[in-house]
Amino acid sequence: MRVLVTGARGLLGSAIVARLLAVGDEVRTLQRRPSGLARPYDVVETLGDLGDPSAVAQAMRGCDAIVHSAARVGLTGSWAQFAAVNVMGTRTVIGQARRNGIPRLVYVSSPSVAHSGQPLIGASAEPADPEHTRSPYAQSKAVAEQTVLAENDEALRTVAIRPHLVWGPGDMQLIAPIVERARAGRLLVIDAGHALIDTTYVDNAAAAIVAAVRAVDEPEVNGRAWVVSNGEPRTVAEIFTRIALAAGLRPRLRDVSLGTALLGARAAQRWWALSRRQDDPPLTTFLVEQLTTAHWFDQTQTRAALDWSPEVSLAEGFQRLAVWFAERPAT
Amino acid sequence: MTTTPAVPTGTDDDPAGVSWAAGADPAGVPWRAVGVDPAWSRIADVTDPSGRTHRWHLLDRPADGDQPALTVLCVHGNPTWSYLWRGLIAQAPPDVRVLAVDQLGMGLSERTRSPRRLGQRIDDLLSLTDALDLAGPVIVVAHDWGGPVALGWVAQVRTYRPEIELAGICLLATAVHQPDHLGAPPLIRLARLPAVRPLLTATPLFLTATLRVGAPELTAEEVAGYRLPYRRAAHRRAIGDFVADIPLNRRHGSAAALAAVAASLTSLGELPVLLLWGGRDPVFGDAHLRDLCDRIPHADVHRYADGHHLLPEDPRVPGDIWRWVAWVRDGGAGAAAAGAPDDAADSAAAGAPDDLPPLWAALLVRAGMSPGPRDNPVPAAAGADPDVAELTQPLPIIGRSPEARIGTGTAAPSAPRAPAGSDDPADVELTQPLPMLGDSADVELTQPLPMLGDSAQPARRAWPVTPTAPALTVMRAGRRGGRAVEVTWRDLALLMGEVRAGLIALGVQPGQRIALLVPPGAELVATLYACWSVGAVAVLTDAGSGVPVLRANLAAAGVHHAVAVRRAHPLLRMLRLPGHITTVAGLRRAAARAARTARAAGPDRPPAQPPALPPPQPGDLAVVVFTSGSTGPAKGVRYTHAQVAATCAVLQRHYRIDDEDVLIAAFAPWALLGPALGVASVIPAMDLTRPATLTARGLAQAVAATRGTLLWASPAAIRTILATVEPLLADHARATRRAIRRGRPVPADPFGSVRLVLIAGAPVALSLLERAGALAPAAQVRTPYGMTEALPLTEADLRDVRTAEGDGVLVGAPLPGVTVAVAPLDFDGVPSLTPATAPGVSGEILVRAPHMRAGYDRLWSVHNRASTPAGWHRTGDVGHLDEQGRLWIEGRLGDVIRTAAGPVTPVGIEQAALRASDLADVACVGVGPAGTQQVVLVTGGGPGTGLGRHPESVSPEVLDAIRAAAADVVPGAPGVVALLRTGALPVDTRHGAKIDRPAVAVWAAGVLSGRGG
Repeated sequence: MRVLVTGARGLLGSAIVARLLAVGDEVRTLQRRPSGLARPYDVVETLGDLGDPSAVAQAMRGCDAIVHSAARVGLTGSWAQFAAVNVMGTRTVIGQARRNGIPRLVYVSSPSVAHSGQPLIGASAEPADPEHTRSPYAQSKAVAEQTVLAENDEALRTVAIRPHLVWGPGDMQLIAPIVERARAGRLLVIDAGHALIDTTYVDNAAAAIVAAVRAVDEPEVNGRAWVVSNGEPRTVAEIFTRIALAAGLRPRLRDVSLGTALLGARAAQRWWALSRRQDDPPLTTFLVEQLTTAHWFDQTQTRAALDWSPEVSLAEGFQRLAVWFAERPAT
Repeated sequence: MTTTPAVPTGTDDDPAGVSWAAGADPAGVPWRAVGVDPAWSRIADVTDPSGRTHRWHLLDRPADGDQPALTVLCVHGNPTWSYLWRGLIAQAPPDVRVLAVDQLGMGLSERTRSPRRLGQRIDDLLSLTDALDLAGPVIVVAHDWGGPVALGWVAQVRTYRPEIELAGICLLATAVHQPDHLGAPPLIRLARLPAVRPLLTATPLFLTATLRVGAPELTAEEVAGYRLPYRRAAHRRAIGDFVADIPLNRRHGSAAALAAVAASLTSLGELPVLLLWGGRDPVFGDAHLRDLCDRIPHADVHRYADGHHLLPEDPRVPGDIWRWVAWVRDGGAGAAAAGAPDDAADSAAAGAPDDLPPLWAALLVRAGMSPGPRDNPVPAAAGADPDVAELTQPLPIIGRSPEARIGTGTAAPSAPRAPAGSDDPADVELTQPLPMLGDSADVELTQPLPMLGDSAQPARRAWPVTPTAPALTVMRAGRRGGRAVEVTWRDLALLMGEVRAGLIALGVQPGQRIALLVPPGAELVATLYACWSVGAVAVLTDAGSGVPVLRANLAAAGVHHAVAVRRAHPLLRMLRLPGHITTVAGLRRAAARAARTARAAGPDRPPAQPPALPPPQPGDLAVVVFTSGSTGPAKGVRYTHAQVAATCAVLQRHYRIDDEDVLIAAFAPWALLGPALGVASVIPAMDLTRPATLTARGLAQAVAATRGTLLWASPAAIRTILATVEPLLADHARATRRAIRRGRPVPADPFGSVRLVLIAGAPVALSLLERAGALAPAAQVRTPYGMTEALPLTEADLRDVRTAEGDGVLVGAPLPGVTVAVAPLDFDGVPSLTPATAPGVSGEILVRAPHMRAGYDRLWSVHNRASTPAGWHRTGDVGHLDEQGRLWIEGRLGDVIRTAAGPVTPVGIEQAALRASDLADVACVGVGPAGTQQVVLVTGGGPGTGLGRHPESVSPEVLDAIRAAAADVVPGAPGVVALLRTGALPVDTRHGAKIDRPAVAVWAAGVLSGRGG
């Protein structure tokens, strides 16, 4: 099978490419800058933007399936900024897939598309709900997922996979800030960090998405969203501790109350807005909410539908992370 | 006589001005809106014997097929109508026809010109069932004042309608007689007041009030359904007439009919009867239930402690009625006994041998007494001053008695001397003959007793005669070694004889229930055995569980009399018992009065003896003992005389209890069974309802005072003993050094005489067993498994437990005579009903034993569930048998964690976690929705005394070790997701050892949800 992966430079995108190659697929990629995958592997790269239909069309020509994982992510930013990439870019991918007769589309979504702020406890994949999402990012992903799933028909089979909190060696989004703060002795947990949270080791998420490339033909699979996780929820405090330990640090978690955390987050957001900084503030109200709300999912249906189960346990994942930190030159 | 389907008849314009005189128009009723299938509604024109035709309305749900296998006839009370039964009808099995009638003047039936009396209503119902050609098997279900109507109908049918085959009667919240000590229910008396009665019909107040009080959960639609046929004053006339027809005195026009109905109940024979009651029914209270139970002793009873008057509206009731109907159709109790496996048949009360010695036999033998009647039945203690007999005082001792000995050899105030009695031992005698079970003839008790159990079992030894040896020693806390108050065998027997005489003098009848609210000690023991000797049923409930539980339990048991400390009398008076509320001293006073009367009658004339009481039979109920409520709501557990005897027999045989043994009773039943076992016992200075109050010093004093040999204690007591043992051992070491220095004999080891330590009541950790073993080096340490419903069942010793690692706690192999199986859990954690004994199969533990309970008291539905499959007791515990046939406990059925990989049980994981760490305690619970739950551990040791958040957990390394250990125990199950620390794990009050996992689970779920948990 020949598969196009968009956003192949990212942590998950590159893992998807590696997984596809491992199962014997031919891989094309589309991203703005070179992924570094073309040379070592037999990957045909197209450099381009999702906003450029011709680049998109060129990248997917002759493919049997598309894994659409390119997206703008982040805690800050306007709806327009997120929508331009996540909504409009996805529409471009769908439009070109139809035009070029590509029969399968696996959309890499996010559980945040159905999260309205309430704890998710043993939850299944509820329908995306753009009106009640908690951030512009989640809202844009929700609209895009709705679009993708609404397009599902005989000619184009679509499915959405929502991996929850993907992490692994090289991750800059979850791992890097935690390690940085642990090193500075500023690793905070809110309300003791007791919220139980599902995470997904990157290779497991990639394997689930590659499984979905096959399973999307099944009538009970396509047209729906599936949450993917390791199925081993842990408390926020334990996740932080394990990540810091993998980086060779013996962390001391500092416990702050929810009220204090919210005050701090509001102040930081205000300051970042006033000073027009483009990076993410260290704490936002969205992040506080994510860190103090249980998020874990019922994986029985997903595993049966995709005929997939996680191959790397959390313990194994943390070990691999530790190896990666050990081999990496100190920064 | 014609019956027609419901058609519009349009009779609202009656010439007499009474609406619906010829019945309402059911076609105009919005049936669907009030939750009734319109197809059920029909009318029937019925001509009564006087030639008058009445139009009836009824709900008629036909059975599938031509002939119903059974017809259930439902009769409503006042002020309801057939609407009452819609829930029951909706759940009816397909092969059953259900007929729910509207009585004349009620519901949608015809409004009659004159009030219908009870007798007429009975005839009316018979006319209707004749018109419907009712035949074949019928079960009648009746509520409220429908009860007398239905029972009157039953009496008629049994005599005159052979084509109707009565299969059973189910009565809900009804009465056939006003108990004399109460008068009419206050609400009915209120409704009968001249000023109030017109309001019953003029306003819908009575109807509204009945609905509000009788079924507080009714929705507005349901209230509208009840009101539907009673919207206008003229519609409601029969409601007032019905109230007026309740006979509150003998002159009332329906009094004779009601009396005839009440009298007919004695001739019901073996006809199955189910009585359903609501504990919160202000109309028909517990006194009415007791009255019906006394009239129909064989009735099955289910009393919903929180049930209200309109029981058919209770969501549990329709299911329970159909469960009972199905059970009756299967042959009821007869089939259950027949269906029991063969080797369990001897456990049935009915199968108990007739030659069982009575429970009090050993007590009398050791006291050197013959139970035969003598010429001069004067109590030895006739002159005793009963007022000193408060139990907080040392027990006044009857007859001649050695002065109470002093514990540990130090000086202590002497117990009051025995009241003056005769010094002639021949005078030591009981006022009433004590009958032998199944044999009221004279039995020479000093001879070896007949064998216990069937003749295949080894003959029981004869008890030695030791009248002046202590039978019961009660330790009182004191500064220097404490005080030992001893009661000799003879004094205990005499006290029992006196209490027995008092019970007889007060008119206690066999089968009546007597609440015993007396602290453990000689008075309690004597009263318990006295109750048994008169055939009364002792009701025992744990005073430590608090006043609300106590009150609920006594109400649930429906006690007739109470023997209680004065402190409990106000509570007992609130329960409005029909009999006496007295103290042990009061009973002794009554005995003395009776004796004086007998004496005054003169030696020549035979004294006016109360009629001789029939001796209790082995299958008669002996005791109702309440569970602690530590594993669900408190329930009364019934034991027959044969089952109590079987419990004693298994204890005696298994622990080889001999005459030299002394039971150290840190466990309440141990304090009661000593006399039946024929061995002495000692109650340490402690609050028996709070096991953790037993200190090492308290135990040592009890051991020293009695040379106690057999200790039975809960894990909580053992923990306190271990926590307080250091100073005791230090003192002992000092005393030993001093003795050696002075060349005196060294003091005895504080627990040297203890030969057996039994730790039971909750799963016991190995470390606790090891430490308990170190405390009494000469003793064997064992942990029996059992429950209020059957004890002991299996047993493990230290060696077993030391080598045991597996999924659960090893409780050992079944004792001889005990059979253990499991009801395997399916993927959703639900036990199947096919017992399995294959090793390694997890399921709800099923047991069978001769010393198993007779059943749950007045909880028919609970009992039926706990006794299915037939012949077994379902324990509510989950576990498995191993290759060697030993039982492992994995937790309570309610503690099973339903994960995505199937059921996971908590105890094995907890044990693994404790082995893999130095945590002191841990609870394993599930969080999340059933079917995808995650496994969470919670440990105590944080700040505070209860469940409270604590930010710190254990180190990641310890967590890794615990996860690995748990995965070894339950391979394939989802791993432990988190380990939380809290202040202290909640445990039950009685044993102080059973972790309340459901409470921990709720707490953990809150914490792990993140916000505000």
